[in-house]
Amino acid sequence: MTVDAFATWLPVAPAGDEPVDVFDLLTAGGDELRTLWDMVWTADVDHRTLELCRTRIATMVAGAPTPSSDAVTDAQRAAVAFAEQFVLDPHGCTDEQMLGLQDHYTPEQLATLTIAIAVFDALARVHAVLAQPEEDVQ
Amino acid sequence: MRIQPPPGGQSVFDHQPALFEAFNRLYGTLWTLGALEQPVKETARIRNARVVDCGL
Repeated sequence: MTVDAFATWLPVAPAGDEPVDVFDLLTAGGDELRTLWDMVWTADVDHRTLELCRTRIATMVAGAPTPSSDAVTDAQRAAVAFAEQFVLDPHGCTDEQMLGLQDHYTPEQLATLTIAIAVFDALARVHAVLAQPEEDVQ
Repeated sequence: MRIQPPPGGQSVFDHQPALFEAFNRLYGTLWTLGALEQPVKETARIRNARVVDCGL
């Protein structure tokens, strides 16, 4: 899983229809971001759970298509609910919800999941702000 | 604290020191390098902290 390149309206982007990796436009931090992204995906939370969270956040923040309704486990449902609340209002994460997460995930996994969700949220917002409108992308 | 840190740790992120280090490396790089002036970054940080009611 790599950070997706996308076409941006930024005037400093190369001309043409090819999507650019917007993080190449950063004068600093691009490599560190990619390293963090790779580490999130290779840590101790399974890809399916992370992808469910990532797509749910993308849906909420950027209006991306709703993820498929494939069967999810109680653990995955709890993770996605945590992701939703994190995006909407982190203060809305209740003690009960956090205790419930610990029925499914170890503290190590919750540390990973929290950082992963923070990264997904941040990148979804970057995409929402910098990506060209879909109607402008050929 | 909702999720206890490991023995000797201070926060939940001490459960994943390598991942937290990667996060802090990104955070530190964004603060110390780049094309944007520090006051602009700090203004954005304060505004974001107020919106999400972050005490940091």
